Amino acid sequence: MKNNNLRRLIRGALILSLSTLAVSAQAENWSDQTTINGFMSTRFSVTDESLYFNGTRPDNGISKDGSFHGTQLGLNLTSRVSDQMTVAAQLFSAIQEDNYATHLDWAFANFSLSDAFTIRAGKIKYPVGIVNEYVSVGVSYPWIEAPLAIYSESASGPQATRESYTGADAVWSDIRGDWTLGADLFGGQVDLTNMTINKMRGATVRAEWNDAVLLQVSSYTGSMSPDDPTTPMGALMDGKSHSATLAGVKVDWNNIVAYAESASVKMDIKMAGVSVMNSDSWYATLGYRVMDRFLPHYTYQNWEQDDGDGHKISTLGINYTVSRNAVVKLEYSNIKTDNNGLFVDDVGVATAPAGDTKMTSLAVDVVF
Amino acid sequence: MLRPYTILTTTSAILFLILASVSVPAFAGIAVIVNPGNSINSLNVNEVKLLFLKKRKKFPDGSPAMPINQKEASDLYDQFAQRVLERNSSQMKAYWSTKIFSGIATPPVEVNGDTAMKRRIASKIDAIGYINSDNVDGSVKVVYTSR
Repeated sequence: MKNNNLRRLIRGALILSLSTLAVSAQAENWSDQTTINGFMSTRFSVTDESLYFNGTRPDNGISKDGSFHGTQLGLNLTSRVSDQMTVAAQLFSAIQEDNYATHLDWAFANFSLSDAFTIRAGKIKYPVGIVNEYVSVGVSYPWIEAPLAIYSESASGPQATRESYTGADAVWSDIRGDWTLGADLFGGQVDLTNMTINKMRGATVRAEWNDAVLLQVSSYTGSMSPDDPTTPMGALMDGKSHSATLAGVKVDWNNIVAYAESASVKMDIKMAGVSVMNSDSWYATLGYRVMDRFLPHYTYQNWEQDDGDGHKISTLGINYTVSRNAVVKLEYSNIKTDNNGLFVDDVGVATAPAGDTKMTSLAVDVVF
Repeated sequence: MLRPYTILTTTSAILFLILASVSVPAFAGIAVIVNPGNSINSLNVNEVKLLFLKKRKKFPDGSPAMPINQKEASDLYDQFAQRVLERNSSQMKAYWSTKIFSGIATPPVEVNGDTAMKRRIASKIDAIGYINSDNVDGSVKVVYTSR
């Protein structure tokens, strides 16, 4: 994180949240005002490849040795301060190397101006990508992990969306007949491991028909500010723009479950005249619920970067709903890469696998 | 060593028992109720749905609404979800998970049983809940009934 003011802001938001909870706890009906919820995913994946997929370290990336990559826990606190205002925060812990890394996923204050208008401020989930605002919560979608062609957080991935941003947004939502319409105007900064995206601003518009079909389009832009602009890559990125446009549809109608999303990412980083980090990606998923408890599904995803990197992944999966709180998921994927894709060797250098990689994954997703 | 046929038969039997154990008792009717002092006299199914999914925060007349659920694990909760909200229990969980863990909304508060629900409704002018229609009495006002 580059900016110390930002640390203070987040610390302030946390203190505000805790003070609010303390005040609420004294209130007569505090249990009506404050809720605590959580989610947990336990995931195990194994490939037939010795390189590491979708992770930079042996214990985090997936290889033929197997990995619990994606095993994670979240705890969420929401407190209603008044009829107009709520304060909410979420802690997120995920397996990394031989331990768990915990951080503040998001924390913000939410002020309702009316039934239709809401203002939020703090650290907010990035409202880009249909499932991004709850991307860690496995029971909310069919896959073990949301398709990497759109939702990868890897610095060498498509970078179409982000975990969260610090700033504010104005949310509008209204119901017109069978349609729920919505818009989210957001702005602030995105903090990444070695970089900050400043002057970030964007918009997401949504239209949902009868809770069955959701259409969503997002666009955002910002200015990249590397922590160390003196490195060769830092110098190339410093002050350059990063923007993306995404469009998607989700269908949950009768027993049919379907998703499709596409993203076009533009990063103004040129090497030998080529914008090497620009990319186009998309995925499509089709599933069908059987006896309310089983959901077989198929996903195809494609990511193509202008420097020749990319991947095509076919995934066949089946989910079994054990109870209202728990889902067991099994998936089998075929990963075909262009150049390195999301593979690295055992010291973290991007490396291309010899051929197609097969991956099998098992997960248990729980909410409580 | 077990033969494949034996394994398949045993697995199918276990699966059948699991599915058969998920039986839900039927209710003659589910009455959606408000405080007798509330000016609302009737709601349609869509209006009830929007309030309990927290897509609307106010009654059609513009007054604030506070939806109250039956306990999540109760049969009445599941029946209400199926008949009125048109979702099964796992779909309800998935719906609220998307709202809770993105910080957008939390589910309605819960009470345990019809007696507690009527007491809560009778004490709050803006509350709206639901009970087995056989248990309706003068302490609450019915604004919608699902048969």
